[in-house]
Amino acid sequence: MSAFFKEIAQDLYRFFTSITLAIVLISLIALFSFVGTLIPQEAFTREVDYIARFGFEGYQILKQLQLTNIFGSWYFLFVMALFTLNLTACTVKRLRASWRYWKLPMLALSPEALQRLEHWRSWEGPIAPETAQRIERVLQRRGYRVRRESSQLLAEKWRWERFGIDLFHIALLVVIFGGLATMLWGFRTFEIAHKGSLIQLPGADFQLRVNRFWSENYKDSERVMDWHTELTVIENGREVFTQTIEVNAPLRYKGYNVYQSAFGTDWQGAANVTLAISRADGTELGEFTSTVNEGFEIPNEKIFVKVGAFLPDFALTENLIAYSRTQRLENPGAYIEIFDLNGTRLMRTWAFARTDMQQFWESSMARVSGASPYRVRLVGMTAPEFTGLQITKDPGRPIVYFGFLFVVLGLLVHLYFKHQQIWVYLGENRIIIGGMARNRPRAFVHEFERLLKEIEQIVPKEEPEPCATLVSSSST
Amino acid sequence: MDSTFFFYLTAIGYFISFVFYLLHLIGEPKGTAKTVGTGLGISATTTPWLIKQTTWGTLATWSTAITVIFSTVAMVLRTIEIARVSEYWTLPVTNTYETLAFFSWAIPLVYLFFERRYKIKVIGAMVTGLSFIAVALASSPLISSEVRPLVPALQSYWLKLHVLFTLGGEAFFAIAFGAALLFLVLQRRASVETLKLLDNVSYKSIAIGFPLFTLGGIVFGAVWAQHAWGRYWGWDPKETWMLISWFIYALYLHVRVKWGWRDAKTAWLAVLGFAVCMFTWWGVNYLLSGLHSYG
Repeated sequence: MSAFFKEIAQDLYRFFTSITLAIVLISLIALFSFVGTLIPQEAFTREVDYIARFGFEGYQILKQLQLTNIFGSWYFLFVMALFTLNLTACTVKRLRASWRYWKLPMLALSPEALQRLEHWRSWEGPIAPETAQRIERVLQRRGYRVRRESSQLLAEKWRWERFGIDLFHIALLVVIFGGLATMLWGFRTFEIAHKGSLIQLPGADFQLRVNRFWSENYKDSERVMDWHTELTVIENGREVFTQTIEVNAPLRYKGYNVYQSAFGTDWQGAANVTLAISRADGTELGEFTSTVNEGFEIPNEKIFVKVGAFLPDFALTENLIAYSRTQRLENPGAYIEIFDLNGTRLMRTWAFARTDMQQFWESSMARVSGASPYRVRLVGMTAPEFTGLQITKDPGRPIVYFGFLFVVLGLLVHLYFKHQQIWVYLGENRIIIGGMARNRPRAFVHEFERLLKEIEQIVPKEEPEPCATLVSSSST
Repeated sequence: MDSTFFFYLTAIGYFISFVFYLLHLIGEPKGTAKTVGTGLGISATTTPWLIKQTTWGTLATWSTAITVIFSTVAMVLRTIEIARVSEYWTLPVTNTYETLAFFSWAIPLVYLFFERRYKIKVIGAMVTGLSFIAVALASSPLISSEVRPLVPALQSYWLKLHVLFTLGGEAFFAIAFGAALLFLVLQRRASVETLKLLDNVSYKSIAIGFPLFTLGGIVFGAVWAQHAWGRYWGWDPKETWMLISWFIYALYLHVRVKWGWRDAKTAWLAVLGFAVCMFTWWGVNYLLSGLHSYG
């Protein structure tokens, strides 16, 4: 039975360490990402925009297939999980190979073997007794660790570079897990705050008070230079400190981060609208002002008028849902309901500021639902400014940054360091120097040449120095 | 004189270099084993065109070097212009115009280094061609050259780091693209040595570009996104496409090492990777909507 499980475990290991799986998964992730950017994602798209673009049916289908939230869909997360497993398995496999390489002893090579290396040279002639020591010193100065074994000097450096790529892969995993930690234990909200607002953060034992906020323009220009919000941290009813944040300069306190992320006029949340109301026969009842979601009574007429919504840029979807196309004051419209004093709704309508819209709306409403008892026009609107604060808690941050550090370090080590080995054979009347670098990079030629130049100063000069290529071609 | 003037000069300069490199590429006899990287002998003449051998190539190198100087002057002037408007010192990489100009400055600079090191002039035509397209597009009426003060989100030192490293990496990818495309076009025409060298240059420039791109795009990008928007990663179209191009280059390195792919197969990947990089830069700005729509 245990043999059976062992076989399964081996199969699984083989499956997860295969580079084919990695490539299939990478391609799948790329494909899903591609689709995810073609279809706008829920995170930054409103429902009405979907319906406006794909129609109601189309939107339902996309939603069913989880295409509107593809990066949170089960199939994407499944592929990501597999990819993480694959990366982990490959890293383990590689790490074991690197460990074996690390443990591999550097062995003395016979003179014949040395002459089969790609880089080598030999000198002949009487050898002074201190030559070995002097060569050793040259090698040590160049950063080699030198060991003597009988008649040979074994020098090497940068053996550890083999772990560079492992470090890189491990660091990638660390980044993924840091991101996961943030996803699981962190949170992110967007708050629209007005002057004096108190913000209670979920799970936090302190509150934030918005003292004031302002927008700063460039000199003699309409362009925004920066947005600022002055915040006070309040803990147990006591003011702890006050800080002004701006874009790219958040407030950080007890693991929470508060970012200045938007600024604007809060039309939809807190507009103040002025309405001109008249009876169907044309009798003016006057102008009235109210905030969104509130209303007013007209006592003489015995009616209550409620402002249900305000849209700065009114538009309709295919299935007639009203929404605001932008947050600019392009085509303002207010949703108005009129009740009698018993609470029975007498009528509902949209009131517009643009006369063409108003006429179009009134004529089409008259055709659809007959004459209405009152006529409402939108004659004025103001709204308070708001500051948009992004508030996050991010427990994975140190992990992610730590990972990033080693992603870069590992990659640099892998690409720019190569394990180099030099053998110096000291015979009776002969010195042979051979060297090699892992994966034989071009750069090693230069390193080897420089080393030879220094060693030439030490070894006997009387004898002709055979060129490496000449000798190797004649010796074969 | 303002930076726009120098960018026009740069465009003219790259065009002239492009013509020289093209003449060098097709007008000179096929390189032998010793002179890899000189002409490819497409014109099939045994004697070089018009003037003596290597002259076109030398002219091309010199005109490229001089144009890089113009380009540098233009970049410095632009930096001063931004600082005057914004009261903020930053690299000229704040909108599409400037990133294009930056790109056309970085590619030949990187290329000259490769040309010196690998003695391969045939890629020059691709590189100066690309740079010419970039700077000509920037100077065309399609793209506004107005110097605008920085929007709040861009006022950060991360802007410099993020764009410098990302575009720097992409400049190397551009060289790899040039070499790979040339490889694919000349597969059956050029000498084996030239093809080997093209393949090697393509690989080397990806090996240098990849860490830069990783650092600039993924690391600095994520850190800045965390700093400005409050999250490292949000599957914004720009981020997503950047990841796709990163994956393609990662794939390139893996198949080369693990499966021993060479030549045409990896050349196709290098071309695809650069195409995706360009889409990340252009397509995402104009076709898809997202937070990251500065340039």
